[in-house]
Amino acid sequence: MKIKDVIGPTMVGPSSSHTAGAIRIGNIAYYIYGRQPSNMHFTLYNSFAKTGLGHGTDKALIGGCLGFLVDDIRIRDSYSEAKDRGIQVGFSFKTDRSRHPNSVDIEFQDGNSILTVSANSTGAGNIQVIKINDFNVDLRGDYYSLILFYKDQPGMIWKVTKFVQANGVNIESLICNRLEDTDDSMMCLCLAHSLDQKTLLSIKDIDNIFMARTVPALEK
Amino acid sequence: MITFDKLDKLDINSKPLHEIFQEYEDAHKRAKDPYIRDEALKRLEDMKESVSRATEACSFSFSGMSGLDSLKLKNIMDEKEGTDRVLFSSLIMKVIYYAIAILEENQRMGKIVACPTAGSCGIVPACILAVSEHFKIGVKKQVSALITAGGIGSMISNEVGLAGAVAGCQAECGVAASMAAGGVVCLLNGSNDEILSSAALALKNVLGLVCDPIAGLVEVPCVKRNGFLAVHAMVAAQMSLAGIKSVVPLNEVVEAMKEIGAEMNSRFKETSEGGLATTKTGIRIEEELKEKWTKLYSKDNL
Repeated sequence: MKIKDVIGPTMVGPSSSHTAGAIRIGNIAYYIYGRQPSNMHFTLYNSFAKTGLGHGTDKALIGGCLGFLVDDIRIRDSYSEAKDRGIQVGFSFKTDRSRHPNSVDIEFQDGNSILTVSANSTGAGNIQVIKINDFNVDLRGDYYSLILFYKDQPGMIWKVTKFVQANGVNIESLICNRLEDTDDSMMCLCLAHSLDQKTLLSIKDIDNIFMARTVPALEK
Repeated sequence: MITFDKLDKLDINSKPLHEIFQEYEDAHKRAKDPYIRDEALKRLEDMKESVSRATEACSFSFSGMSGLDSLKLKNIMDEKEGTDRVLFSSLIMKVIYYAIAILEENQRMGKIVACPTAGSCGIVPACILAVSEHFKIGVKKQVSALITAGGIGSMISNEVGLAGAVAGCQAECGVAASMAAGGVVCLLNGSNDEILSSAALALKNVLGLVCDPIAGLVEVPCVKRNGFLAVHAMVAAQMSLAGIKSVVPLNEVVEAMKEIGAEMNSRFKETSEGGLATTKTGIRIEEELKEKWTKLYSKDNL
């Protein structure tokens, strides 16, 4: 660890894995969903389920999904903050040994649209988003990321990456997934810098892309 | 990142330790990151803010296990209870008071600076701020002390992970005490050797400390332990300032800590499967909390 990481972060307590990590998971989910849901449901697994309430993991997740950062004192009151925004909140608690000890599924709902984000809090405030709906991903909040949902067709990666290249931005990692039996696909690019607005619009305009989301690098 | 090996290769007495740490950190930072002195100043201000909020607040934590102990210390310091119950000087009283108050604030989801972790966040600020107030030490020096403390923590973290789950509480509150001792010696113009010796003394005397919190919460024994280990850091700093040297140098103490951490049974590494967590009282509290939360989070209450 660097000195700056040893004497930080500034965060709402009480636990870096169960509180700060949960907030950062919520933050990524908030950017992926990209708008206000009418309903948020959280399924907590294992240690998150067992000791989460005492660590305010519930409040941390809600607050994170409202876009509050790790040092935002409003986390403490995130139930009422969600209520004020007209968002319904629910929780389930499960034990599942196949899942990470500190693991959560977040389900956003608005009318018929449902989005699920699965993530782990891996310790010291570090996190890993492992799934968006049925697509496998690996998002850790350390890079600006571009997430694209699209109908697959030949050349999609080239169509996207040529705009990224034209913008002069390096791709740190790229994950593509296609669901079995359908053409539904997802592409997740972790980038060294953010893309400019024009590039983003060009990418969004590519045929077959029906949803594009950006997630900024999160402060730790 | 700064390590013991790298420090060994430098001429350690060429300049103050905080300057060595500062130069190293700045030379290896990413372009968009701020300089470490600016970052440390920000953290110091956050620490001061957390102390002022913590010492004003007066409420139980969510579990009800902690929250009002700092107030009891404050009352006895203000002589409301009479001086015949005060054992320590006002400086040491303040160190205990700050450390416990900050942990209580952490426990009620207040804003704190994890230093190095959230569960040990009271020790470094309690020592650095209480000593600075007592001796009227300026902000510039306080920043240097925080960088000194951070550099010690950074070197240790590059040998062994700073988490109860990795090496028990010796790697959290133990390391915080080691950092704090070095910070205090820096505040009082100790030499580099004295700083490193105080850090070694503090860490050496908490080797083997386990992490066995009740109900898995950062609360019992963590809140009061921060008070204890803040004073522990002050003892180490005092010994070093008196000229007492640690026989075993810091890097070797860290090796010992690593070995002990690796051998430590996982029941005593943040899993709450042993020690205080599974005492009769520990189990009773865990069951009571489970019942309380099941009720609180039933569908009707959400």
